[in-house]
Amino acid sequence: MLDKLKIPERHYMNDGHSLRSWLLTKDHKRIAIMYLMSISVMFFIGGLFAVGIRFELATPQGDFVTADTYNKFFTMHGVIMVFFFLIPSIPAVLGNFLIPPMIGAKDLAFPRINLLSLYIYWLGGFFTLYAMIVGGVDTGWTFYTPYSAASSNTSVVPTALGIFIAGFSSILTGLNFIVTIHRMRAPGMTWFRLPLFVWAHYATSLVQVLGTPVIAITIVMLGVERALGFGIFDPARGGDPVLFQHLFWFYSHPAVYIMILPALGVTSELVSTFSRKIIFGYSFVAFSSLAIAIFGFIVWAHHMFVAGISTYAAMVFSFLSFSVAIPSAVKVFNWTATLYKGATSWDTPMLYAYGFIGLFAIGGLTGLFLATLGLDVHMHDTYFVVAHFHYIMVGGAIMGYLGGLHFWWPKMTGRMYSEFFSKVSAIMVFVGFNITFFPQFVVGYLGMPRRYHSYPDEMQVLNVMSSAGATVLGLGYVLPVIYFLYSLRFGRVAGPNPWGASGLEWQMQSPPLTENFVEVPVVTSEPYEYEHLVAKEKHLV
Amino acid sequence: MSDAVAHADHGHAHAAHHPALQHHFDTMRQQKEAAVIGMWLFLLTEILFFGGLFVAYMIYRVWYFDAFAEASRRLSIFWGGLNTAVLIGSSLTMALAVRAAQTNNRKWTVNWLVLTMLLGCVFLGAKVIEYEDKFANYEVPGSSYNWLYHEQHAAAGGDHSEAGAAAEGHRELSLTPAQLQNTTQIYFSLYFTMTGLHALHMIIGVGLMLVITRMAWKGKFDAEYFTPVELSGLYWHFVDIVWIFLFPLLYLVERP
Amino acid sequence: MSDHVSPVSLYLAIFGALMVLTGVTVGAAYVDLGPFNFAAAMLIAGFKASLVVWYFMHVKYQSHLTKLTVATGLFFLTILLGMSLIDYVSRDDFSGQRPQPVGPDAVIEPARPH
Repeated sequence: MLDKLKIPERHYMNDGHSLRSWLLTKDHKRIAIMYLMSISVMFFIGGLFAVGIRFELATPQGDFVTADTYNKFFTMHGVIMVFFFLIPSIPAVLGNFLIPPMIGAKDLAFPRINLLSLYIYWLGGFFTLYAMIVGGVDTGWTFYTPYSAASSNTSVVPTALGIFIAGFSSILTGLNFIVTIHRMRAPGMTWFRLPLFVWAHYATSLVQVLGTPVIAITIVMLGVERALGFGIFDPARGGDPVLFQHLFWFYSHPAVYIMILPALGVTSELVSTFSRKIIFGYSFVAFSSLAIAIFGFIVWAHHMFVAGISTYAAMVFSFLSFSVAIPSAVKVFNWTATLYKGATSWDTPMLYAYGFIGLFAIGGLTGLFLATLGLDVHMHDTYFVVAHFHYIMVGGAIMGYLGGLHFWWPKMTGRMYSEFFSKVSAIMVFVGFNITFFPQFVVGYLGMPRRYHSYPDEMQVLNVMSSAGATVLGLGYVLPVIYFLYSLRFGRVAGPNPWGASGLEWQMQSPPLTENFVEVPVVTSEPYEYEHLVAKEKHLV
Repeated sequence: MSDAVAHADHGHAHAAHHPALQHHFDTMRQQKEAAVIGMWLFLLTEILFFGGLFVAYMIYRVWYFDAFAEASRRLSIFWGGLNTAVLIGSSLTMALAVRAAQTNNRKWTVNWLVLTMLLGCVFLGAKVIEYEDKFANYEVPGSSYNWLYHEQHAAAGGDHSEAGAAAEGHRELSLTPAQLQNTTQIYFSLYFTMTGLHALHMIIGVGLMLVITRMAWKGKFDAEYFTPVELSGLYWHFVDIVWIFLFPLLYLVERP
Repeated sequence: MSDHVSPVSLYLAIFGALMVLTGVTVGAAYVDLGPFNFAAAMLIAGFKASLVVWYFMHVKYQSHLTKLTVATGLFFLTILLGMSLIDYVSRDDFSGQRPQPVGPDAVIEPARPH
């Protein structure tokens, strides 16, 4: 019989109560919690703009807001969701919290830099929100020149500055993870004993460190063009606006891998835990994360097929874009093989994992359609593209984030949330998501352009469906806020390992001590030894 | 799952650790290696950061070579060359500062650092002189830009002694003067952005040196712990390397 | 950095080499080598940078991981430069898409305030 579980006396959350002890903390777990709160606020702000978009698009005429205002809605939605929610999300919250314990370390390599990255995130967010308040930006999150450099009379520079600053937050997080994973692993924690979550974050960090500086310089160049009248992209002086696009997408394509790789890592953890089986083909899955990160750097011009690049370049980038699908497919196949004959269960994190696998597969496959030159000519800048990337970013990345949050919540807080409401919420998210975005594939294929606040009458039914789905999806996102907060006070005490999962983090108490481990662990076993565990359990019964 | 072995925690129970050892590290060596790799990763971001400008330079130099060649002549080889020598010299003094810290020589750590800063300031001073000349000659891109101002005033005997040989008669250009008015602005946009960003990094570097020098002066470093000096050195050398490329790219496009 | 302390003479020698190479760079610029001027200047600059990295920044005496880190940065810089070129070198050949610098009537508008 289990003794009634209690929240431990001393843990990282009550190790100092003052505001100062939080704002000046060096504890990676506290920093993770502060990131959690910050990105959640940003998520709902970005979501409000989405509400505005879907509300406008419920009717074919542009009757809710003017075209200019609508331009600001989708721009701010994109900027906030990409730079201030998706890019930090899993790494800054789950990565920060879990990487040190997963490798058996007391903290990240550079705790103060970790704190600095949070401050920088806040500063960047401040500038962007300020820009929003003084009138917003209408260039699209992609800021293409010459509109953004010369013609737009909205707050381009403050927004760009906010993004520039937030980029450093991303760089510092990645830098910290790389050094930590290389140099802070506990004795016996070899590379091939690392959880796949760690591999995924290592790959993500490479992208963050190598890619982000390029958008930083692009923003600098845009800034001097706009504020000082320089002419690097100005066609009137012989400049090439397509050069801006090359530099912009050199980062922004790998950025989408920053957004998805951590979720792929989370899914590997969930699939293994909730099938009680070691992940099929561990080293293939580990290397596939690295392959995605590296390949992700050589495909960027598939965003520019119709922008004016040469046909030859288009063919090269199209071919390379096909190849980047291969490591992603490796993961999907390996998860499927893991599930096969596994002892699967329906816990909430696993619901999110199932949803992830299906929606990521759809999103990824539709990416192949877009990588095909002939099809892209028709579908570029239509809702087909919008649907594609939302399947990956929302159906994929956000569901991975929520799955991870639900999985590690008991570790982070010591409490379990309501199983019933969490399942309801997961289902609402899945159903609402598909009703929102599947019709967008159809209207996109029918030719509905993106970034327009009106559309032909015959597309209304599908758009209304999409807006209705968005309502369900939105509610599905609000519910967790409620039951998570409720669980902090009234949730069942979870204990160290409510899921019976493998991994060093589950050896800590819940919530963990500030220093994570009482004694530095020495690792002698392979990861995901579930068959071993299951056998042990059977013996004990 | 792991089998954790009972293992005394290396905390305050053991007195013998360096005061600068942070508690999440096991040894000074581990801490320093982590710091050096971290700094190199940061320098990687700087490589990619400047890299974007090099992409732009590369493309426009091919497209508008004549504009680049002509505009490059407006830069002074004297100041550019002097700055190159000064910066290489400052890299030497910086390397010597790190070496002094490594060999526990507090006095010379400070001295070499001060010299490095001085040389850095000489560089910045020269840049100010160069920029002033550009402003005076309406060579700053934007609405005030006037490509022909310099030639008109040089012909009238103005004291533009630093300018290289003018373009008279050395070869046919493929761009008209009107086209030059436009495309040389691209060159100067890149010139100012690249050297401006470089100068900003130098200013930050000098600021960093001030902090490190103060720390050295106060005896915070010894042979086992001089990581901040080393990391600043890496940063400083990197800024030097950027200039090593900027100098030929901007000043030596085509001479005479 | 390992415990290796470089002798002062090594630093002075590297400094000397860098200064000489700077002189060579300037001198070579005054000799007309056609397209090879650029290649020569870049090769010399690359070599100078290597000296700084290898000796002044001590990479010669650092761990394999440090060396790998430096190499990775250079590799991705090459990708940035090289793959952007794929578009630009192939433009004229296939579709003549190089924008021509505009004529004398072009009006340059100052950027509007942000």
